[in-house]
Amino acid sequence: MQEPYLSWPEAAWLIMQYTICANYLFVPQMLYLMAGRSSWIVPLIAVVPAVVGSWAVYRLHKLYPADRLGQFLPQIAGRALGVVMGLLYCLFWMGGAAINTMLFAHYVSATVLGFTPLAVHALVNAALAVMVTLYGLKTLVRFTDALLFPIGLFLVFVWIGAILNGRLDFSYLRPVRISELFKEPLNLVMAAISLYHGYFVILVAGPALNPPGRSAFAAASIGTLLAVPAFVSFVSYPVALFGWPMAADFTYPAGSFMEMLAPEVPNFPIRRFDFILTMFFRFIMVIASVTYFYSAAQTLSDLASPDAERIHPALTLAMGAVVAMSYLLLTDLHSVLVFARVWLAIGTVLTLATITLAIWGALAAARGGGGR
Amino acid sequence: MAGVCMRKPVPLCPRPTRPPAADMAREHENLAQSQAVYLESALGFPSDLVIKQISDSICLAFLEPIVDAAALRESVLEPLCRLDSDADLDLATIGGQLPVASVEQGADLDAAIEGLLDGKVALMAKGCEAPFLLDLRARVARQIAAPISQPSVRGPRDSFTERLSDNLALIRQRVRNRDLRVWETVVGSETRTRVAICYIEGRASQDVVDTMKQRLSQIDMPHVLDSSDLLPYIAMRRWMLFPPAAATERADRAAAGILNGRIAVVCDNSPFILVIPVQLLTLFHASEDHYNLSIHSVLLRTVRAIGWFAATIAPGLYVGLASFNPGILPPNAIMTLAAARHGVPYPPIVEVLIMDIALEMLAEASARLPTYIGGAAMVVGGLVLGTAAAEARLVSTVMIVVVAVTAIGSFAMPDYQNELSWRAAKYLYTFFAAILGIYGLATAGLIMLVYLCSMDVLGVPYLSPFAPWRWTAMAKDTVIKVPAPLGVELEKVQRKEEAEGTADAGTIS
Repeated sequence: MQEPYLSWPEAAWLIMQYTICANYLFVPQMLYLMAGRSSWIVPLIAVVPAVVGSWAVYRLHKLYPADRLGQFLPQIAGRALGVVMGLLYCLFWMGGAAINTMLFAHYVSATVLGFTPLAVHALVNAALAVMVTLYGLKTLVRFTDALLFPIGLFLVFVWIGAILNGRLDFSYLRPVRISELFKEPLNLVMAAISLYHGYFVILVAGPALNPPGRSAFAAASIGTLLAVPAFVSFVSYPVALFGWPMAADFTYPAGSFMEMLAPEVPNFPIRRFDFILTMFFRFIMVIASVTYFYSAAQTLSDLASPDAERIHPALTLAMGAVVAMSYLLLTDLHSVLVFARVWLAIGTVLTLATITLAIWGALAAARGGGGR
Repeated sequence: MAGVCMRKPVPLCPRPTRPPAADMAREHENLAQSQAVYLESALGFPSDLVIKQISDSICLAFLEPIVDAAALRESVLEPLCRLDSDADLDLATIGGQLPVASVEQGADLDAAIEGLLDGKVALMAKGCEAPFLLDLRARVARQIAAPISQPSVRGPRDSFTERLSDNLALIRQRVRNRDLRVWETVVGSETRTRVAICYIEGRASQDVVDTMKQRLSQIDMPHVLDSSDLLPYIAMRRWMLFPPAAATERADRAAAGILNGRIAVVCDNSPFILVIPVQLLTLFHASEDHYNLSIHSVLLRTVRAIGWFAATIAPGLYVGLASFNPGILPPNAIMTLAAARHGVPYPPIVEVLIMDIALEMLAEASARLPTYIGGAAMVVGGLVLGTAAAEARLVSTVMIVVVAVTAIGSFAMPDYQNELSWRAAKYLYTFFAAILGIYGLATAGLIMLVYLCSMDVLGVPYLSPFAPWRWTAMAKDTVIKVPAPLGVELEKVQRKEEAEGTADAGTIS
């Protein structure tokens, strides 16, 4: 195995970006449908299951510090169940890659490149994911590190700039009605449980952590907590700016933050700078789609041949082709949102499964029968 | 990553089968004479091979052009003439009697042939199975002069030459550190080129040094004519877009690299020393940055960064704006662009390709022409071609400006190899801009970033200190070069981090 090279701040940054991903484009609208004006509470409630999930991946990492998910799952759950569970994780990650890819393709198509076929967007994004995956985790981590500088500044600008320019009226967020949270309780619970699932990356990148052990928990929890302001702002700012229920009428509520940031002067070229905003969103989306794809490819590769040092290129290319072809199914935003609901359900199952595995593994280790 | 094939060194090209010494002794009464005949035949009786019979028992052989004639006369011929012709010669006797720098006894006649080709004198004596080799090499070399490809307003004026010993002297004059190590090997089965690496023990990563020595030892290549020939073997990549080493002819730059924990690879016959491992950011630094005030260095580096950005992005930006996204320009700018393009029969991508290729041709022509013609050719070519193309409506006037900005920007980059890399990368940006507009530019940028993130040079990340994050190195000398006293403190911190394994060796330029 290679020398560990992933520090916990780098892992936390990766988890943060992975958690935010392209969720800013569809999560606000989905939550508005589920919980109305009070939906901004959901990202705060979701912190609780996320912290438990972070603890679960930390426990699993502590039990198997040198193994990835596809390598230790069969050891905990047995070969057959381990493979089934591993495939479920792969499905979730592939779904995440496809959602990110197609959601952003639709967004770009709707905003700046209306005449370019969706297939081209899907192919370009899938090719980028394949490229990074073929280079490996080290490249993915460095790629994410390098994007700190544009994305970090951008996020700070978005969060603080929007507040400072005085156009947000946070009174629109009130009153918080508990009844709104119970309109679709099952969906809302699932969304809350699986909203922050970026810490899953520890299951795949754990062996690269330096030092191993507690840094996994630090990375998972801090990375997740760093994503909370982004989610809260993406859900609450449109309501605070446009009011309720106007914010819910936008196709991409958080897609035009420049509306919030633009100074109140005539002829300010909002569309011009919206373009730049799209570029920054793209950077975040790329990290997420690539991480989803890498996680799926690595896990599938580990399930097929646990001792292989590299992901098989043919397998990666085949999976990339699947993501690129997803444009045939996810033909519009509606189909993406329908698929996202199913995907969140899978995420909920996997979050609960991860917690169960951690407890199971910890008990087995206590009996002296598990871990390394 | 495609690895470069390394094999064990193979023997020299086919050579005559050496008859057993006993047979030779039967053919010639004198063993020295028979050895001389063998050397002559092995080298194909070249006209510049001199076989000089000193006495019945002593014979000299050497290649005249590469032997120091004066030293040969004073240090070898005259003392040998004074020796007793019947005396048995051994290494100690020769070493004591002949005032030459180095005397060794070759293992066999093949070693003697290699010594001859190296400029040594073979001394064959009665009773000796193999010749003695006397180091009397003479080299044709130019004097140390000011650097041609890396001039600077401030800083030292001496640059490396083609002679390895001169180059090592220039380094040793600057790095008077007892831990400076020089390790030498010979590469190239047909050129037998001497290659030396210089580093400071304890400061350069031992892993990097060991890897470097191993890779140099395993080079299986017939011709090594320049240090650039070593690059694919050192980097272990066949196809590289970006240089894995900084090639410099400035002695101060090589010395700075060594002092900062890097390795200098000095190749005989090459005035360009490789400083390795190198990070991308270092290739944007000029020697002058260290001689100027910090504020001035920041200004110059910012200008270079803008130049790099313009050189890489400008053509793609033009294509993206003109073809896909004119809406992000102010209305007046859209009108200007539309008016400039009025009457041009091609899409913007064709315009860009025409002018870019013309620019590349001009740059290539000016590099090949003598200095006093090259500059004029560039100006005349640029003016005539640009004006005529715009007047003929082959390209728009805005395109002329774009090309000019691209050229100026690329020439602002201090490292030539790096400049060429970004000139090549420019076409990727232009291509993506042609299919996806400005959005395509961002996509091309991401592809380049992924590629750069995947690059390691001897285990050191190419994008360090930005990816992975190395905050101390980043603070010391990236965009901002901190003043020397603070730099010294930060360097201490970085040495500590390197010792703890949380920093990469040689991430300070």
